[in-house]
Amino acid sequence: MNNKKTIIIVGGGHAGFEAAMAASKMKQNVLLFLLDPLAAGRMSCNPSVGGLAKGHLVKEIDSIGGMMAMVSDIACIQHKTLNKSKGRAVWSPRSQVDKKIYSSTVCSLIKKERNIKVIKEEVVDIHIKKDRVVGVKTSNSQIYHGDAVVITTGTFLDGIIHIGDSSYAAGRFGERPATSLTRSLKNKGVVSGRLKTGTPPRLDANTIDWSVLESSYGDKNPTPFSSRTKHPFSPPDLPSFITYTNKTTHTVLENSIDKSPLFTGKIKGIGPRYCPSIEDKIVRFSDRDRHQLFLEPEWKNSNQIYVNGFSTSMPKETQLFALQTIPGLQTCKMIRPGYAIEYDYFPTHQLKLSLENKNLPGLFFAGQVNGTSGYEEAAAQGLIAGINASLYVMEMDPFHISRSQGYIGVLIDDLITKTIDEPYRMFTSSAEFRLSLRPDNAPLRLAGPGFAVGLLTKKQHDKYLMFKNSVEKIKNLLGSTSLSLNKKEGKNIASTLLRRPDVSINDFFKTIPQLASFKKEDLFTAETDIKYDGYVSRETERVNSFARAENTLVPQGLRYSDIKGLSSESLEKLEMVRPETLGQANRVSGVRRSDVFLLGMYLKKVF
Amino acid sequence: MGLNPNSDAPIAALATPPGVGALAIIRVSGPDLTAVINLFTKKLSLKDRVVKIASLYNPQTGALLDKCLITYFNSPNSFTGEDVLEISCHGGDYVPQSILEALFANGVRQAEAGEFSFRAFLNNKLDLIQAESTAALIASKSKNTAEASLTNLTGFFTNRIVSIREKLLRLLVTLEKELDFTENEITFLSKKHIIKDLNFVSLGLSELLNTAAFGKILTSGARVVLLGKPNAGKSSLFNHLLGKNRSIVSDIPGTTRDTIESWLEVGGYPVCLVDTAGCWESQDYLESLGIQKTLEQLAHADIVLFVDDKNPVVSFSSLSIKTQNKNVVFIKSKSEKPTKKIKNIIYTSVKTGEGIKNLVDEIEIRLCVLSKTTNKNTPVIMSTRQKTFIEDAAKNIQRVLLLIKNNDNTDIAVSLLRGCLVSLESIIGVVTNEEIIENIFNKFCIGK
Repeated sequence: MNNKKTIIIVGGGHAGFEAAMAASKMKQNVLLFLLDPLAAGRMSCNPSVGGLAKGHLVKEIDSIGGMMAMVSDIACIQHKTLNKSKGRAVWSPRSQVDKKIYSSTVCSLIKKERNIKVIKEEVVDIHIKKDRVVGVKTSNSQIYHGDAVVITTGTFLDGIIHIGDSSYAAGRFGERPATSLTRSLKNKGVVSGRLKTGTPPRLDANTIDWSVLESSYGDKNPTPFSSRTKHPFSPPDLPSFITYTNKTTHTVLENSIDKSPLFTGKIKGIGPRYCPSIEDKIVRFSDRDRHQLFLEPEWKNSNQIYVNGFSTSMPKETQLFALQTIPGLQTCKMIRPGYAIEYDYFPTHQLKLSLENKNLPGLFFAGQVNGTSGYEEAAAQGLIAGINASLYVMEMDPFHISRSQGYIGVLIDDLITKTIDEPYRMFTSSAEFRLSLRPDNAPLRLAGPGFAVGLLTKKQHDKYLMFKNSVEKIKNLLGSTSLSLNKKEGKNIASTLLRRPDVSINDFFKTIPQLASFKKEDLFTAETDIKYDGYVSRETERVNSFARAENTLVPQGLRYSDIKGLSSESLEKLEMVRPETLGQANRVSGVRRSDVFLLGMYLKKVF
Repeated sequence: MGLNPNSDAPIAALATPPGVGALAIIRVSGPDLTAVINLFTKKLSLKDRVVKIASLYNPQTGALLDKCLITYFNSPNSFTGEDVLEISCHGGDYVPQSILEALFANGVRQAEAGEFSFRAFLNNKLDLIQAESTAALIASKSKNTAEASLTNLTGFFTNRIVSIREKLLRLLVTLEKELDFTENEITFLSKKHIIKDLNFVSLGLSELLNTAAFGKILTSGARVVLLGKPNAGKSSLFNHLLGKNRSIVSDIPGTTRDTIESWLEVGGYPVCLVDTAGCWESQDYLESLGIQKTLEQLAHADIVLFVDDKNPVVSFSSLSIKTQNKNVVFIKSKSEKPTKKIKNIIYTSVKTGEGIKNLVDEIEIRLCVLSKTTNKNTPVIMSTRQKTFIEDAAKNIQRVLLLIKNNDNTDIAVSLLRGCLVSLESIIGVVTNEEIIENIFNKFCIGK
């Protein structure tokens, strides 16, 4: 236990960075392999962090002790809570960030961490002895020892960029791919697949007519992502600008649709249905005569503008021609075109909940290489993989967030039980406990586990405890005070009154002056807890009626063929996924309910 | 419960009632029955849905068991979804039993109650509504009960639930998307449209709920309670009603000596006629246990028949026992020669048969009103389980409507809608848990 072990992390994007920091905080030696040390934490696509469901992930990462929230706050240039009209459980914080500051902050944080050593080499193979991972081999034929290896290679494995007819090997724009690792992993029995994703063109700010465009600012008094960010949090609130495509734009794109590698069949990987390219959008939503675009600065005083909503892999000329039909962009110039990128991923049914490969102990996978999309999804997995790699080398039980504890739990459980045939994006609808998994109560759910594994310091954890205590105190106070809000009504318990949609906690300040001594955030969370209470318990009751099945363990050595009566398609799926619990079995795509029932009865009888 | 998931073992049971009879049918179900039957016969080639005549011999002793007709249903086209054999043999106590014992000695297991239907459920041959309808059909005591059960068994009810569920699911998916995407990404549904869809679902559910009273009468029978002084002539009326209507199913002695129950069919409805005894006007009686029993019967009564040999309306109003039941039929007994008839009183005589038909007609009319059977196009709720789930769903839809109308929390509305969906799916058994299943199949007899 006292001996420091070595954890090798391959790749330093959002997943790799979280994994490295977690392992380092858990006092392990980290060897962080980067093709380009300056590219750590680089944002290859949108200049923003958070948003619908992703904002929840960022809050949760912060509560466990991960980095993304803090770095985003440092790099933040505009912060806004989305979905404000739809209920507090789905309020979604989102930051526009300065990409340069983001990446340089990541680089300097890595540099400061004494346990992390950066190695600028390409990993080409994994070393295995007696079925355990013992290190990696690099392209210089160097061998590095490691007690665990975390693969966080993003889109770099055999990455191919497509722009119109032309395509070339690359990891992301201007960076070379890694070409040997997939083959090595395949030789060790790891199954791989192809996915694709895309990014929009970047425009020269000086060639845009800003005067005709509508601006969009952030919130007036924004709350930072991280509870470790010092107050006051006052990002510069730089605006984004809004414009729209039109029929002419669509005609231009339609006329060249045969040149899009998406439609010519050149791209074999499957792209995300939910983050479609502009050519996809005009084909699939042909009834819409315009699509909204956001023009977002990539950093402070940036001359490089990100065209949010215009992801494309059309030929360069078509991209420019189409853009120039859009108000404000008539004379625009591209700094670089949009492109699609195809890359290798490793289907996640091969992983355990700990993100460790089921057949190769000590080998962990996290991030886009697992078939997800988005920085936030990558970071969340990186954090979990980093923690679990550390626990693995310490010979301790894996760290696990359940579906009822957080979106991170939903994300990972979904990954390992569902067949993913397009890049996985986090949605609030994937969370069956959505009403209780709010961004504001993330610390109440996850700070305990984060402190237990050693990612949060005592001081940080104490701060969360204070938050928790205050929320409890407010709830007790409101539960024990009776008052009337108007003369017509008799007295009522404050928390009962608060359940009414038109009553706010602010209405009680006059009658319960003690409330004024609490922080705004504490009051907000207490108020929401009370307002949602009845609905949350109904939701929990509904989900829990299936909880017994959820927690019934399925022995890993189970021979499914022993269960007579299982349909062959279910048998095949179950053999492949090997669910860890009956609940997971229930979620495996393509498994019949009656077969899950049969499995449950079998387990009850035999075990 | 003994329901066994280990379905590799074939199961068998007597499908007809035990005892003396011309024929008995033994039902066998399992993954592969050719091997089993070959132990008992020589060169019998089974063909799907073809009846074959065969002599069955005990595999161990070689003794002839019986000459039988064997019908074979090849998996999956059978009741259980497995291979099924129906062996028609001679009836009586001995022959069927000896065949069963020979089967049990050769790798076939005695089926538990409901196990055939349970296997049918596991193999998607039957949903939970159909399973409940099967049980109700077998237990039915009246024409209407049998008809409604048969209709539900064909999938009429299931299809209705499925179509409401489809609408709900589509709405839910749309609302879920609105939580997960911004208005720039997708087109949002108008509030008017959402409310229209919710109302459609709500209407469908309340239509179903309206049948619950009918369904309850069909499955539990209507309780028609006779009330009156001991010598008012109600006991003879009780016997007369039962005698005139020969569809008596069983005589269950009352839980105390004070009440007697018996079943009859009125207008296709199963009716449980209850005779209460006692002279409530005496001080003794008021303090006795008997009054408790009478009060309990009154509380559960669907219809009260108040019998009096003088003036029932007057006697009723002077009663020391009060009933909340509005459904009281006033009967003047011993009216061999009614002189002057008062409206709303039925004059009867068990001696002449006077007025009995009027009384039966009156009961039938009141049953029709009670069960609100107006719409033949609506499937009937036949179990408390079905009713509870539909009620839950209907209540939640109302909550959702309120939230949507007030533009309040979509997140909560969607959570409630998810609950509705689970309720509807639970009715059919798309989502379910073990206890519910065990409950349903436990109600079956062996051999079904």
